[in-house]
Amino acid sequence: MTARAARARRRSRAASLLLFAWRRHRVLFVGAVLAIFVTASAVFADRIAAYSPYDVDIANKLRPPSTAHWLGTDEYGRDVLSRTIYAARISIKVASVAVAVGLIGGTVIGSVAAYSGGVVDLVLMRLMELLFSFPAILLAIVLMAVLGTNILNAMTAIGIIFIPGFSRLARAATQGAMRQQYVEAAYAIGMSDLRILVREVLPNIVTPLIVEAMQAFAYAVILEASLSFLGLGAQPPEPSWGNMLSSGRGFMDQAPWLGVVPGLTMFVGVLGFNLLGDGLRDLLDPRMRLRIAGATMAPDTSLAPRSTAGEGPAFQEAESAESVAR
Amino acid sequence: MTLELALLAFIVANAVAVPCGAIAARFHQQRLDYIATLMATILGAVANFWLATLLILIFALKLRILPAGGYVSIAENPIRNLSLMILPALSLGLVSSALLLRIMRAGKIEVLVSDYIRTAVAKGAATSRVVWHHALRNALIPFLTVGAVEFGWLFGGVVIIEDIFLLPGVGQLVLVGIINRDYPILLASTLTVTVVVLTATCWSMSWPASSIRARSM
Repeated sequence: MTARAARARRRSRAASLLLFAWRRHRVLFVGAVLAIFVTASAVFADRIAAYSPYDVDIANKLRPPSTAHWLGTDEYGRDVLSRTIYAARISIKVASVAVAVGLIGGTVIGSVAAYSGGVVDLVLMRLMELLFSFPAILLAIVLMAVLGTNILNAMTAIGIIFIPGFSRLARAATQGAMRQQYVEAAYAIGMSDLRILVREVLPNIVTPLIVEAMQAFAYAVILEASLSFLGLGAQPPEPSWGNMLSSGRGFMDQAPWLGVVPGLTMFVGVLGFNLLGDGLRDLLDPRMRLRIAGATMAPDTSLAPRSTAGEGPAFQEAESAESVAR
Repeated sequence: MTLELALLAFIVANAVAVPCGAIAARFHQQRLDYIATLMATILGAVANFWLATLLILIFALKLRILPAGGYVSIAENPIRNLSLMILPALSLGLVSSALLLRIMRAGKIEVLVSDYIRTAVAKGAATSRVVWHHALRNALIPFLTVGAVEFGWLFGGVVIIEDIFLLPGVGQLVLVGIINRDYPILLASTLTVTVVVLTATCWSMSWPASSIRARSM
């Protein structure tokens, strides 16, 4: 077989894989494409962006979109497209660190609480409920006020917000896993508690946590932008979708694109990660796979028993999205 | 002030979520359902302050039919007050409606396939009566639980919206407290919001206890 034929075959296999992904897991596919698009533009910002996000050009300020500046310029003549691309970097960075903080912190607290039970469980979970009782954005704002306004603190503050949600999920999942016989067997052969948690329990609770992490990621992007919008996150001239929208507000009747472009990009990113989370859940949740295609609900046409498989998870999904949001 | 905004936003959220969710469930896996689900997905991904910016851009700057910001007490001039409150309430409420819509849809689908609905159909009740009378009531149970929590969250979400629309509410106080490093103000305003949120959450927890279904179980 020639090298060319091998390459052609590989290419057609890749194409059919993509087609398969599109047909079977449409939500996951669209989500992944959008998420990869935004993440890639963040990673390769310095190669994609035509201008530096800090280059001031007062002579060309507030110019509408043109061939030189595809999405126009802002009040200092900086290229909006370049700034938007660089802003993705900050969002992705903050969201990744924040989700990592929440995921690790929440998993440790939740699984330890469930594993130990008793007083430890009680104290840890009441602490989490204490954090839960604040609205997320308010907690973030207050934490920023206490910690001081910079990007590192924004990551910490958003991460802390996510800890209660992840810890609840990890606790419930750990409780489920601990009833399994393999944990009992591990205990019987004399494994240490830490070893049981890390080697036996953790691999079995990781799936719901990953799905939750995707949803949390999307929410973290919004939270970071909210903080920057209020002047508590990324500080100018560093570009962030939040502070771009905030400074664009003053020029809305002369330069409406300043209020549209960063928000639209943020929307695409958030939508991407949301769909990615939904798609992953559908893929990983075995109950969703049972969904019978074409099970329609029309009370007037038929009285035959109808399948509800798949609706339970839909309700759960809304609840899990909610637990992240709080 | 903040309470008024949160209430209005809550009304907006419900006004969108209840009918849309119910219609989506009624036409489950048909075109209307997909449209409603798509709408929920899109609204769920929009940041409320960007929606606020867009609404100002469209309604205040382009169409010039609504004011961009400011505040008049409802006792002073109710009509002016309402016209000032529409945009903030929309931008808060529409974003919240995404989650409520999903809950409403899921809850109603669950109810529509239950036995007593089939009984009602078998007895010959009109479809519209079954869908809107028998089913809606029970579908509202999970919805109300989440709705109360959502109300508490709306109350917390006002910070940014009040800043954008120059509304002198609790959210503004929080920001003023932070910017001036005025910790007593920050403490008091945060406490106020948290108490409201906790009240809403407690109410949502007590709701299932008072519902007929829970009592009969």
